[in-house]
Amino acid sequence: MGTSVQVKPLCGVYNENPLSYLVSIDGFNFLVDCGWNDQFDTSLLEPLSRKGFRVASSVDAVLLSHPDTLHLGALPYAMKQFGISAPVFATEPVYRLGLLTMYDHYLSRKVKFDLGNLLSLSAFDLDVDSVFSHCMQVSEFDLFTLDDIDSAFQNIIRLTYSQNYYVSGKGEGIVIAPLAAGHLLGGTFWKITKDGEDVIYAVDFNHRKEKLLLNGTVLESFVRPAVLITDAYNALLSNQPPRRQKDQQLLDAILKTLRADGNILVPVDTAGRVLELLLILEQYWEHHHLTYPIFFLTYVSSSTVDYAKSFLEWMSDKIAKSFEDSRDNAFLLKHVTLLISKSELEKVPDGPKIVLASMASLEVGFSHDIFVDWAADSKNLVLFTERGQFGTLARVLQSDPPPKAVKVTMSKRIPLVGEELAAYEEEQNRKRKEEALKATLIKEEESRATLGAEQAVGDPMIIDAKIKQPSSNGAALQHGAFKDVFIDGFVSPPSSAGPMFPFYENTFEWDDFGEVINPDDYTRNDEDMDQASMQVGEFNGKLDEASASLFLDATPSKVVSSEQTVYVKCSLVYMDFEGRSDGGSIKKILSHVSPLKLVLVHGSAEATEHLKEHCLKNVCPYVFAPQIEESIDVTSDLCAYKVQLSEKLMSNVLFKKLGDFEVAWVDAEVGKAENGTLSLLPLSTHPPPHKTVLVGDIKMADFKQFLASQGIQVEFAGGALRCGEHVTLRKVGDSSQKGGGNIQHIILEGPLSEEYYKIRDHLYSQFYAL
Amino acid sequence: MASASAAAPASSLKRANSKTSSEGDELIITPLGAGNEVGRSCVYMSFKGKVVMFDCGIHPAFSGMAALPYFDEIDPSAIDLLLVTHFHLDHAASLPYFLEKTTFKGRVFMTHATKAIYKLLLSDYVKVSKVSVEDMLYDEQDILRSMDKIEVIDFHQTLEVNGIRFWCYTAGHVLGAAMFMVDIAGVRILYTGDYSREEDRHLRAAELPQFSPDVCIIESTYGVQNHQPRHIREKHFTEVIHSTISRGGRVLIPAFALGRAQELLLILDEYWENHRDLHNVPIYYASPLAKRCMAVYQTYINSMNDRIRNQFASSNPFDFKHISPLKSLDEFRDVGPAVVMASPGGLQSGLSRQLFDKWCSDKRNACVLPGYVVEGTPAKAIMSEPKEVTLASGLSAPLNMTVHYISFSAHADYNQTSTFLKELMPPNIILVHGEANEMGRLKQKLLSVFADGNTKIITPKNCQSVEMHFNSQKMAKTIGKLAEKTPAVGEILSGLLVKKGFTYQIMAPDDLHVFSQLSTGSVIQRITIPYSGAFAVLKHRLNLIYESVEASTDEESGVPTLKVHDKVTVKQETENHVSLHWTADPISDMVSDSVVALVLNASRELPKLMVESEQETNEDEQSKKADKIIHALLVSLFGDVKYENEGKLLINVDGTTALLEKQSGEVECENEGLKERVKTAYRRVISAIKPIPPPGS
Repeated sequence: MGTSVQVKPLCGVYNENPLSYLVSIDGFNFLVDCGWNDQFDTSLLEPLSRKGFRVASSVDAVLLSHPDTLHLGALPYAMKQFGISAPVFATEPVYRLGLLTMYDHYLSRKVKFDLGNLLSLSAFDLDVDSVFSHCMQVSEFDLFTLDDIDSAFQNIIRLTYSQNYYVSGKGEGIVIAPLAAGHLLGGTFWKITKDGEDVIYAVDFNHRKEKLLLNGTVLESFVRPAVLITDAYNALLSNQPPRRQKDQQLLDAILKTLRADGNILVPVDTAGRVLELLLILEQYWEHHHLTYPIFFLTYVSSSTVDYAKSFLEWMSDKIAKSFEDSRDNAFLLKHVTLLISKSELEKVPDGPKIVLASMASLEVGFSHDIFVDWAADSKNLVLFTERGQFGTLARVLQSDPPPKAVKVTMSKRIPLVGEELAAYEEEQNRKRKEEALKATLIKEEESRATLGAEQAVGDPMIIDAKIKQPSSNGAALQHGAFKDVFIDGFVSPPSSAGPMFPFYENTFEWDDFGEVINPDDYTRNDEDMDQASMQVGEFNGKLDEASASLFLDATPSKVVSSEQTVYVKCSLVYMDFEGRSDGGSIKKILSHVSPLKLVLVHGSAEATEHLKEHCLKNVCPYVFAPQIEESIDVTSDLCAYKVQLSEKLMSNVLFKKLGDFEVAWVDAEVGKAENGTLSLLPLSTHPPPHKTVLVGDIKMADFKQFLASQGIQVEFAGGALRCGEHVTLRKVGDSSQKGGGNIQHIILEGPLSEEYYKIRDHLYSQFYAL
Repeated sequence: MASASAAAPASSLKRANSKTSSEGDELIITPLGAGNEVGRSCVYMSFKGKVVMFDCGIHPAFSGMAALPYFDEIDPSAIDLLLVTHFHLDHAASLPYFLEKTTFKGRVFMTHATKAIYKLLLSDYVKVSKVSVEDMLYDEQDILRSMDKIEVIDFHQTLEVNGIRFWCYTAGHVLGAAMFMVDIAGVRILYTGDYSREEDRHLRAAELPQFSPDVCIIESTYGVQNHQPRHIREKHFTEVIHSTISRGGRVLIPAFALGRAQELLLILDEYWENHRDLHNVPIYYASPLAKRCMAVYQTYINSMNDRIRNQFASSNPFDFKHISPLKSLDEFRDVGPAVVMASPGGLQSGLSRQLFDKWCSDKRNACVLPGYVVEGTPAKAIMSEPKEVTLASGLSAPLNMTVHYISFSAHADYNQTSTFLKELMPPNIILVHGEANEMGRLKQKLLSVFADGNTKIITPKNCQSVEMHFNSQKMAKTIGKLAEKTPAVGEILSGLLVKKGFTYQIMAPDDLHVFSQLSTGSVIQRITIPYSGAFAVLKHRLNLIYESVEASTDEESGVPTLKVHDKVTVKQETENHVSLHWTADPISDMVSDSVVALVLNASRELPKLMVESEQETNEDEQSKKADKIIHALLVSLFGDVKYENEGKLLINVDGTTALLEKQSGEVECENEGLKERVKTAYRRVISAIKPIPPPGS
């Protein structure tokens, strides 16, 4: 029997929720994708966490397909909370850009930094300082920490496209290979092979070659896989206009606003489609000598672009070629300024500008803030380049007609006062006592544990104001403040090294006048020092500064969210730059690939049903669209066994060549080879007769041409081909059940005549009779 | 090419080629260069009609045509695939020539980094090589054109060309260096190119392939020598430089512009960073390529080791702080101590030679040779520290500067080679890329390592072919309806054998479209014939000829039909017409033809009243007639055939007799050969007499 294949969706079927599916092949469980939405809604992960089913613990390997939240967002949380310890597979860009995406998410919503986290942060050369001073989205975000992200990602096994990875151990015999999906940089569709049967998981692919970034998917080169798992996300999307036209529309819209002195906000993802957008803008600016500033604002923008520079292997031929020819890396962006804090943006002089800011959902991040600031001005434009995730602010704004006003949540961190403070302190004291007790029991371990987990999961930080800034002089402050690792109940002297052996590279920017000085560094330092000497709670700074320094301080604080109504006066435009195949192309690709069994996931109920119906009719008779947690069996009913072809038999076989294939009819006797396998030997008796098989595919139009070239009068008449005087040729295909029975019947009719036999001979010449 | 071919042995591969094209199981490997020498790497391989070539280099010690590998030994148009391991001239520099000036029409692959540097390096090579115009192998334009033909492959990526599967592993030698594994019909060949199993500052060590190859073509540059540990070499290197500078001398490091140079720069930059007293001593990287190379190194970070990749997270390690590039000597002010790394490494010409000539007579100065020095270059000459050297101008000068040879070349040494081979355990080892003596010593030593005798070690000379026989077992997979149950021994299996590349599948015809892109079809034929006679007459006549004629009525129109031989349906369409329906296949076509003939005949003869004689031939007569025919045919085949009793035939051929049982076809004979022949003959005779098998069978 064939390989047993089961598919069980954990999230993202009949809707546009994040993607996460369990595919088990002969008992080896792959978790393909582990996505989350931008709101980080834990209820979505329920199927994965459900105890009774032991889903998480049964996972043997995790495959990631794209570096965005919808495909890998839940990985850090799931690995920590549900104890998934299986190896994770991804391509290098998915690993890198995915990591950056998660960092960006974390930083966008987390203000409560522990020092330990900052250490790992600084390794990524982020300007931590600015992160601190301008976090606007303040929430009690405690689903995962930077450490969790790091530990989830550090063990990812990185593969290159079409690298065959041979699974060992439990999954012996399974080979997995990532292949280009064409949607995001490094984006993958996975091919899982066992015993020559392919299971392909291909979601969010793009068959078109991008203008700049990527080559299209290679999905089309795979035909007849045993199982294809794909999405119906775009099934209802009508054909897209040609790319050139789309680009032009985008640029027209942008220029119109800029010329009218308006600002443009493009909510983007952290490291996905934004790369393509950057290249499009960069190129356009270059060609037209535009001077409007472009800003790319995420917490990790500079790292993103740095990494993009080193991923040339994964980009389109065009980019590789231009690098070979001119040594110009496409991501040496001349017109785009990379920003990692909003204050930098605020320093920019007023005037029309275009800002690409994360997140695309407008739920959190810089885009959220900027939207709130800019929405009220009718000159401004918010340009969406992808459909917002379901239920997010971006989706609301994309509805038709767009809402006049939206409610947004603004969060701020304020210090605790009065009863709350007392309660908090009591709680802290109790905790401290407990910890002290623990510390006496296990000294060493405790210190480590507190550093990582306790604070991470726990409550607002507790840092003594005294040790807050041990070295508060000069430029060293910039990083120095975070060098010291705080361990509860233990104050390390300023000179001692931190237990994590932090390493800092102080890189200075130079201009013609020497080191670039940021005046803010100095002003703020003074304030910090002031605050250090001040008593907790006595803030005299502006509210922003105060809230920023709150988390620097150990002040017990809480997050207060306020709802605010934003009147949307600016124009809203949605243009599809998602880089996914449209409905028509998906159908075309599916019928070309024509899998033996098809599983549809991810896509609105309507789209899923539509595609299912279409495929049942045109692609294959086995189309499944499972519900959430519904385990379906797509084991192929294919039987197979191996035989050895003996030399004796093969010497008598005459192959006929048909394209890539060579075909022959064999009659053989089954024997046993020395090593016990079955072998085929030539027959000793007269071969049994068999029905003649005509192999070949005849296209009526081609055949018409052929006959015409042979001097026979031909014309199409009423669906049949009329050859000569009386002979007609008709094709009776089983088009109603494609894939099920692709045998074509050709009916040749005519009166007894010489012509009839002549045409018959020509017809026969189109086939190979076996 | 005349000079090159003069040295070539007589055996020409062109002839061998035509022989092997018939799916031979002989694997032929021929070095066209780098056989018992270092330089012009080029190895030709053919197996099962597929031809692969590895590397395409030039010999650095020769110029013009003489530097090429022996391309005239092969037919370039027969090559399916050309794989280039890394960008060094002795591995890649004849590629533009081969792609543009020969009949080669296969595909070429190299890694991304190799391709990027290849162009840089060759453009430079074309510019600096001082050969007359007619001796030029190719020009800048050829290089640009070749760039369009070169395809890229990433490490571990598995590709397939013409049924040849191949992928590559990190080789560690220089940035982008690869070892290629080629799989043809299940036989794996590993070509290491230049490799190093030692991780250094920026490169990963060569990987150990997860599959053991059947043949391993491996470099043997360092033969049985062993390298000193890396940190000792590095220490030695920095000490020599530091002490030279301390005594006010200048240090010349002649190095190949790319590859090892970057490693040395990393060492120097780090050393300078740690020694403040050196900060005022300049380091120059003097190469016209210097700046452009750095862009490549700054980009392909992902081909390097984890150390570099982790550093990259904070800053690009190839942004050197203490090293400045130097385009030409005009920019260089020779005042006081300095360190200059200059290309080429062999001191043949160019910047390194100019500096050497300038500095060689001052005894404070030092020259550090950091890599493998090719035989026949000036660098090799100064290694023996002669008293005098000949300058580029032709004058001679005393050699007073100290010469140090500290090898940083990333070639495997004996320890690495032997461990690598021991872990891989390939049954066949072919040594290339090594001086004849070194190679011989390595062979002897390896033979003692693999003393069990199962390993063959071969050191072919250029153009000397190595032939190996691989008994490939063809395995087929029976799938679909045919495989619903696994047959027992002795059962008969019939189906379509479909071959794609080197994989075979057996399937039922109905499944063909399911498992391949091929489709099957059928042709249904309907022919109408004028016939105005009675339908019963037709029936009667058909009955006389065919064993099986079934009469029924058509369900739709209710007209009478006859089914002849279960294949052809004769239908009375109207009073004046009958129609024949059948699905085309050779037998049905034949039956239909005869029916057509019969119908035509019947309508022609209709007026006559046929008086059919009682032709109900009885069984006996028929079989007697058949017997006669069989006998006659066998006589014509074997000569002496006699009737024996019980329906047996005695066949006598050259004194050997065979007894044939006519009914069953059983043959009794002592001679197996004759038995087979008689059996076959009988089978054919029977099928000639009764060509149409009875219906239903």
